Amino acid sequence: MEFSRLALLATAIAAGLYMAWNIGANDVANSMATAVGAKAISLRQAVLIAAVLEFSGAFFVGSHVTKTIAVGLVQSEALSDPRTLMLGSVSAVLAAGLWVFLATWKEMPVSTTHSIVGAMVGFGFLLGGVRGVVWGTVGKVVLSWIVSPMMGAMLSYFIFKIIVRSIFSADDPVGRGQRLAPFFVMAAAWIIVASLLAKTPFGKKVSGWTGVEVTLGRAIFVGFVAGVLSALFSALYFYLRVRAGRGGYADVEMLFRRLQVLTSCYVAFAHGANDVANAVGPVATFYTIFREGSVGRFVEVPPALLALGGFGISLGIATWGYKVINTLGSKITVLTNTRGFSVDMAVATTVLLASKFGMPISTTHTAVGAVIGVGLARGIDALNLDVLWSIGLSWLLTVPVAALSCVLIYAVLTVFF
Amino acid sequence: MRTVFTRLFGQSPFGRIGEHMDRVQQCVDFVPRMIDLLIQGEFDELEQMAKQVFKLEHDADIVKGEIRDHLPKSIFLPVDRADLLTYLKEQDAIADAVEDLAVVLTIRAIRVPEPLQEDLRAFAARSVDACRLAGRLVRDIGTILISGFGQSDVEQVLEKVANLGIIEWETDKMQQKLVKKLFQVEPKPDPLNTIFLMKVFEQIDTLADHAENLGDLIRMMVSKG
Repeated sequence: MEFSRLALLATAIAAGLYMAWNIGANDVANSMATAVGAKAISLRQAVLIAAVLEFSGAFFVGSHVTKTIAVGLVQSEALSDPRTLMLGSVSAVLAAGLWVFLATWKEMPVSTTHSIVGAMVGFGFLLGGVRGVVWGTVGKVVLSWIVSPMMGAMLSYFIFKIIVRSIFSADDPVGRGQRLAPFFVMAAAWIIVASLLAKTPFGKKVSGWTGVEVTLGRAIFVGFVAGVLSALFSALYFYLRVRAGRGGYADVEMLFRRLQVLTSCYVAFAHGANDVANAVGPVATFYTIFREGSVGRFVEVPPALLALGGFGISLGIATWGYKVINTLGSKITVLTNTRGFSVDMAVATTVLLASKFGMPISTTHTAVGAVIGVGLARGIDALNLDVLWSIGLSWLLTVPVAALSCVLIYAVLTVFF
Repeated sequence: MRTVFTRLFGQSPFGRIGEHMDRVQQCVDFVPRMIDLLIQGEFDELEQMAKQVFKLEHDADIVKGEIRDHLPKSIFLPVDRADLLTYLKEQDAIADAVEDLAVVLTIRAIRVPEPLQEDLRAFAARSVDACRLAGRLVRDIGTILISGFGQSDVEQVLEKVANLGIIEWETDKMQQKLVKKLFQVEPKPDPLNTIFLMKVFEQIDTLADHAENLGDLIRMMVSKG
């Protein structure tokens, strides 16, 4: 018994690591390639930024979403039997991992997030039939899949329109860009710092150190202060370091090339925060039962697991992701720096807000939405909207397929354990 | 997963439309030379030149077809797709008009009466001006695309479109003047010669008309949305 328990633990951790590796290998490219394609950062920088900030995002902000994915989808009455729950969690990660692998191989735009949600639905179904799944939560999650690309599109539309109206339409586009850049920096810094502090283990630690409780309002305030400070610093930087050339549009793009270094950090951070849950959520459920024999309504994700997820993502980037970033980057050079900036800002903001609200959304689909938003703002020469059909198809397929394979894998596992 | 992005970005038609315009402009460049040869009565050389025009027009047609093939309904552009296709048609119509002019000039040895010669040269030159201005607008579309339809770029293009309208109006006046003169010339030229000369005038005027249409379509494309 003891040996099989340990074997199961090893399987669970391996499956979680595999999912994390997958996220690092395939998903990260979608968030970093815009910056590499626009030559804002080199491939080496992209890998470094992604590895460090994906890990930070996963480790510091990641846990909130994990709770939702791990248990929110499954009816709590169904969670009474520890053994079933343990096997089910492992099956869920394995099923999602396999589906993502298959889809990547078949070049289908399947989301790791959607796969894990689908697998958890299958798991709930397995435990209590139709009533084993919290359909309200499933509905909310599915709604967030539709809302997030739309939000990405809306944000990128407005950000790009602001750039056009205030910079490209100005008499002195470069000078105007230099004056506006610090505000963009401020927005990003504000959201990052606020999300770092609000309702996170890190925020709690800060409460312990300072003796002041970190409330949402205070987190937002501290974020604002951090935003103003980084705005001042960046204003100084743009004043001292960036010399205007002939004042043409190429100089505006150069300006945004510098800003894209910031936004790619922002995207990597947000992506890590959102996507680590896909890998470690079910593993956390498993681990809690493994240690304590039962599980409550919420699963506290041990920091070690988040670190493991973050490590897996970084490993994925280092072993395979950089190749994908490179090929993808060379193919999306049509996205110039102003466009890439708009997409990055929109994606990172949407994803970070979604993870704060515990909504497991797909970064890639949000990014597709953001690109279309810039297109709607007349920023891209030609978009091929056929892709939307394959995304729609992947939405329709992912949940049932992942759910079904979770059930099948569970059946196989019960033979062994 | 990673292919979503590579498939999402379609092939931009704007570069190729510029390429098509280059060929159209090459056709247009022949117009003043053909009129000179007509006035000088060098019909053998005119015949040779017409052949070159036919070849260029055919090249333009091929590019036009290729651009159309790459504009399926699912492609999303910063301008209306239907407007862009109409635009391409109008641009091609300029090359067609030059071809038609070349045809008319080679059917019969037309004689241009002495008092009309300078006016005809000026008329052709003005029509060609309209086409060249329209040709430069294609490059301006490129700038507009870079700035995401920035206000100052759009305004500059709209100004040029207005100029195009003025040039077209001028060519209309010039044509009227030429026709009037043609019927005042003494001794009265041979009626067949008159018919063919009228056709030459019409073709030259058609050039300016299409150039103006191009301008109007560009106005629609840049100000819509």
